[in-house]
Amino acid sequence: MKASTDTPSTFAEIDSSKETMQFTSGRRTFLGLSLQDAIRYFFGGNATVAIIILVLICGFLLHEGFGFFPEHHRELKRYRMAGLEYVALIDDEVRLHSQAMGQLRQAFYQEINADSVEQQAVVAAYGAVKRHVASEVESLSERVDSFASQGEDLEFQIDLKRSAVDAKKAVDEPVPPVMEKDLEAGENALAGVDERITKAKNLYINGVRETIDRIEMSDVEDVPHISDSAWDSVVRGVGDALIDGEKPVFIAALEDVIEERREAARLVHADFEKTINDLNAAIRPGKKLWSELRKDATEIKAEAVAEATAPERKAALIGFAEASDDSAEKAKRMAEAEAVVIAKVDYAERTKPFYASVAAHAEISKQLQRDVAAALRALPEKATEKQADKGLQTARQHLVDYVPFLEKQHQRIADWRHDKRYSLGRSMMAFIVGTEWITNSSWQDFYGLLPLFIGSLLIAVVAIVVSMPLAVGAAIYVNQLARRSEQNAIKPIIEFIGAIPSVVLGFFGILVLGTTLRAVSQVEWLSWVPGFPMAERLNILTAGLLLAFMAIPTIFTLAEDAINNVPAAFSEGSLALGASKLQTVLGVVVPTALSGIVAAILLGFGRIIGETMVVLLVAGNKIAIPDFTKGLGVLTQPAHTMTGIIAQELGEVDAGSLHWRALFMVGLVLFLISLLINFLAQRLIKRFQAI
Amino acid sequence: MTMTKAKHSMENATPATTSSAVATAETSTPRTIIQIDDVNFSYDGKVDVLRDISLDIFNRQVTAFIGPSGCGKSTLLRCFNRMNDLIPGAGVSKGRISILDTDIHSPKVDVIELRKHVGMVFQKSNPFPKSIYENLAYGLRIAGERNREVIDQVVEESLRGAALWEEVKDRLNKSALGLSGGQQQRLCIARAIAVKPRILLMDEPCSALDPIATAKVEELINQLKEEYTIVIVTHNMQQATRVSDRTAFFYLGELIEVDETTKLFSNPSRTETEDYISGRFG
Amino acid sequence: MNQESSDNNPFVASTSRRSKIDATVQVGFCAITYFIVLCAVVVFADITIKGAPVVFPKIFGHGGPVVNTDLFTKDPETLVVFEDADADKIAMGFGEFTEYKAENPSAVVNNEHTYAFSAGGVRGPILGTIFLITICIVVALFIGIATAVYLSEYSSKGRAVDGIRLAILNLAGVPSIVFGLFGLMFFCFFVPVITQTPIDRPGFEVPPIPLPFGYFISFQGWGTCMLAGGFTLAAMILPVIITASEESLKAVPMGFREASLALGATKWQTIHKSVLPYAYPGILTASVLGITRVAGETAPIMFTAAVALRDELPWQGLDGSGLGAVFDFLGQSVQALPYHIYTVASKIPQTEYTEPMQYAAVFIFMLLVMALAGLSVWLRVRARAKLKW
Repeated sequence: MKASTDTPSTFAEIDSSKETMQFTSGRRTFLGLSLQDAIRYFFGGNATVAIIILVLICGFLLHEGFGFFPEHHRELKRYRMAGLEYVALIDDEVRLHSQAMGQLRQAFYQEINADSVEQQAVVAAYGAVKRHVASEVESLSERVDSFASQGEDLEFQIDLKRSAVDAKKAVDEPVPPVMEKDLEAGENALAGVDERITKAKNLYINGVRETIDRIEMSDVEDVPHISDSAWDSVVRGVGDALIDGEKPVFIAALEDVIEERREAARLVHADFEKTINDLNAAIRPGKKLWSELRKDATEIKAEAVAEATAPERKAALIGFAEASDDSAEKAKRMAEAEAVVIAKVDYAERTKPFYASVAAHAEISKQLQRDVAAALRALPEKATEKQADKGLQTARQHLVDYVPFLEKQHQRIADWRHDKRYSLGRSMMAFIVGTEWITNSSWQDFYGLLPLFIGSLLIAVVAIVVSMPLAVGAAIYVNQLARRSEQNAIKPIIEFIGAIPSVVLGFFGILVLGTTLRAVSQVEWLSWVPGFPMAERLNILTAGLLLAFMAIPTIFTLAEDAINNVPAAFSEGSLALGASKLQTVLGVVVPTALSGIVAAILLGFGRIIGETMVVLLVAGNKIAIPDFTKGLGVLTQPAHTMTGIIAQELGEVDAGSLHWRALFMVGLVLFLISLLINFLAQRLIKRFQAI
Repeated sequence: MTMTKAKHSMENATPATTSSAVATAETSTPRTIIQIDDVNFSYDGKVDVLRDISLDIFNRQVTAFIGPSGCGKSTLLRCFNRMNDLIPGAGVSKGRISILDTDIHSPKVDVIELRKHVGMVFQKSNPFPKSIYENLAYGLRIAGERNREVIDQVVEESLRGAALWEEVKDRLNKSALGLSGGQQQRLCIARAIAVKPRILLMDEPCSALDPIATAKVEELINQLKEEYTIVIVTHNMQQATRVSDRTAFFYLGELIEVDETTKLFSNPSRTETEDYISGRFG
Repeated sequence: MNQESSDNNPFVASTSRRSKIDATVQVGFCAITYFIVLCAVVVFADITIKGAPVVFPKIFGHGGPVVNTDLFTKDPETLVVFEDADADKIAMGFGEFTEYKAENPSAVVNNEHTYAFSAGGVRGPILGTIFLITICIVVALFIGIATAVYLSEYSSKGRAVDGIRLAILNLAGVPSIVFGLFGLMFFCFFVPVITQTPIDRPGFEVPPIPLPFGYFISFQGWGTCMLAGGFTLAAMILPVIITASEESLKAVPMGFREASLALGATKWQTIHKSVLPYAYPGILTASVLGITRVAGETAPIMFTAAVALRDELPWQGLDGSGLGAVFDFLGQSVQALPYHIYTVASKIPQTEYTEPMQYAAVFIFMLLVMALAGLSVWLRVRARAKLKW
């Protein structure tokens, strides 16, 4: 475009020096980028940080986690090669046997004790209360003793002096005034000591009385349930006994009665006892075999581990040697490296004892089967006591199953080959559905995800079942039913809950919620609730309730949003048809917002399952699959979680070890779960937005 | 007295019988069904957006409210079923509105019962995000109807009544949101008449529809006035002439003129009306 | 209304069961809501009732100073509980106890118990938390706002932007412990290795970034330190800040941009002068609220920054001077309040002697978090008063 000179335009005046008008920019460029582009790329670069982080998370988890499988596979293969697996088969037999023995013994003692249960409860309560009170007033009694001994010392000295004075008087020698004064001072001191002893004694008695007055059945650990009147006399008896130093007469009498009745019962059940003892003896050869082979297996394993790590050690020593400047040092290191021999373990040779023991095991197994069968015949059909009978029947069933088990187990033992292929898939399954997570074991580490996964899942289910109705109900109430002033007050409070740090909630859970829940569970008229009274203060239920509280703001906020986004036209339409407010809310508004609400619940679930500190502090941290045979009572058992195990163990393991990699695998599982939940929630939200 | 009896039998009666009870009462009801008596209305308690409105609406007629935007015609319409109760602070500040000789703001009036008798169709069609069938059944269900056969029957009747039956009978269980705009609006009309109201309020029902769909809805309105009293707010003067028996013209919160439609459009008595219908403003 | 017509009232309320059900259900919803509020109040009350008297002894009638300054000027210490000659229980910090024994060699000490972390104060943890939050805020705001600017101002629809949004969405759901694993691997292991000097891994290293005056930025020696912790927390809070910032940017009317561009301003000038100033209040408010959440997180800093006990404050005994000392300072591990609370809650028995200090730490932590939440409210109020369009 040319600006003609004779018709001056504004553009031309501005650009008069160039004569031409340019819309192209004359800005400087850097590396071929204009400033604007550079700024744009700067922002774009920052925007990719989110992707980079996600990719890095993924990458690190995969890198550390997938290294787990081959190593775990090698480890499990070694478990087989070294014969540990073989020994574990025998171990199973021994373990099951002792389980049955335990049940039988328990049944037996219940039977024996049946006639004196109440008396024993009272005596046990007496012991528990006495221990409790004594520990509370322990120092007081020490003080009384120490004062008393001081008094005795003083008295002895005064006596000495007094006899000296008497002796002098007897020989008509004048008593020096110093001595008289000493005597007087000593007697004054003794009076002082007496006073302090009295004070200490009173303190002690008051201490005992106070404790006795204060003490409740729930204060004392492991106190059996006894009647209220028995409790009163036990507590009073403890008070008297501690003050007077004598065992109350009624306790002594009870003990005699117990002894008598037990002896009588023992006579009646002599056969039962003998059967138990015989059965106990029957496992001894098996146990002996087990402990012999166990030693072998451990040795082979140690050799195998040494073999596997030898090249690495050698390389490290050579590396040291090369890095070292000192020639003497260098030579020493080289020599050490030379000394590392990579000794190949001859598994075929070393596992011979196992194969050799198969015949012996056949004998032992046969004998054991006969013994168990004999025991089954000899055992009483029924126990008189209800509880004992229950135990007896379980044990019987156990033993009945035990015989075919032994048969099969021997077959497995005979079939066992150290060089049988151990597939990678199997070792993967050993992680995914493995039922044991055992680390730092002298025998063999197992990394089974199942106990952690089930723990996480149970806690999350409890939490979501509790928090879902609360949070969604509150969202419906606040958004649809509450007055405006209520809305303005309640919303910030619920959102504030979200700002409470999880570690603070965990702290609250330990100090307040756990203790309170256990106290509540011990109330007698609540004992019908499954799992009550709770044995542990920190368990699945406690953790679940706390997490429910934590998830409420997440679910509430998102659900409230979803409800709020339902177009007003829907509720107007419903109201105009003559629906009440509540009918409108439940009939139109909530169903319309449903997918949004479900997404809110899902995201809440994601938050719960990924939460670490609360479960680490409050779930009880017991790595075992909870006992589902107790029905809902399973919820009052302690558990460990996927998040908790990482937080607890990662700080204490070596980087790059198998255990470390296993923890990263757990992290990977968590990460995948969170991605899945997110994906589902986003799909639901999209569906909601389509309305 | 008949009414009271009908109410007592409400618990186990179907809406159909309720409305027939209402129908028996009709013979005794006067020609005037809605009576607006010197009404002022305000949204905030200070400024009145409607002033000194007095108007009678007759039974089984179509009454059209016309006027420029913001003249308060929709506000007045929403007073009849007290939809304005939903807006905090809004309310009638003077005068009274009676429907069937009952002051609708009296404490004895239950707003939910009122709305069952005074149905409403909105400017923008608002079918619930449920199936077509469920949309129709909703009103019956909230009224306590549980009998599936009765519901089926009323659904069909209402859809036929709204001239929609033939179009949707094969997809009653499909989502109502899949219908076209005109179908959705007729569905909303069907939904409103399913609960057998006496009065049907329509707030610019065709403003979002194309001419063909509008024609269908207008045809429907002409059919419906056999049974229902209809009050329709419209921007479209042709529509008012096509569907209504009487027309009320509102301007700046005041009722300027109300008369037979033919008379109002051919021979208005006020100059404002004439200016408006001749298109000089608005 | 006359008598006759009221008899005719066709709109009487049907006094059916339904209205009763309605009322009951509504009361049920109300009860649910207030139950949640009650739970929140119980938690707050428990911590305040047991924590506040330790922090503000005088206000609660326990005598002593208005504010227990020891809490803020001393580090955690072991508590010794024993009985003196008169059987009175005495509790004192380990330092004090050592002095006491030195002064009264003949004093009777019976029944001695010790409790770790139960005396002294929580100065170290408070400072550590403040440092971590500061680093987190700086890093997260910088990257977060830049991302939001890109998404709302520069990006056009496309796969790259979809990818970014997807990443942000998914990042928001990743468990905090997984962020801990990431931080540990990336900031504590990976980054120091790839920037190793002298270079012993040819082909794969990031050269130290030169700075003026002969200094270098190098990630070497990061290990467990407050930078690693702060960065990990920042990575975790990033999605929240991006989302909040983007919403604030979107809330700035389009007209502002158009007006500026129409005046011949460049894109950057428009963003810098006509968009960001109006979006900042919203960004800050939402971001501070988000940071409240990470301030309370323990899992991400467990492996990356926090230690249970440190003898020195992070700025004591630094190598180098000037900028070098600053970097050394940032490379220190710290104590942090949440980790401190975790340690005392899980490893120290709760008794009448240890509880006051534990509750005091929790109470101070809550105050800190609430102060942040309060700050965001204050920012919001101020922003609303200042900017309106």
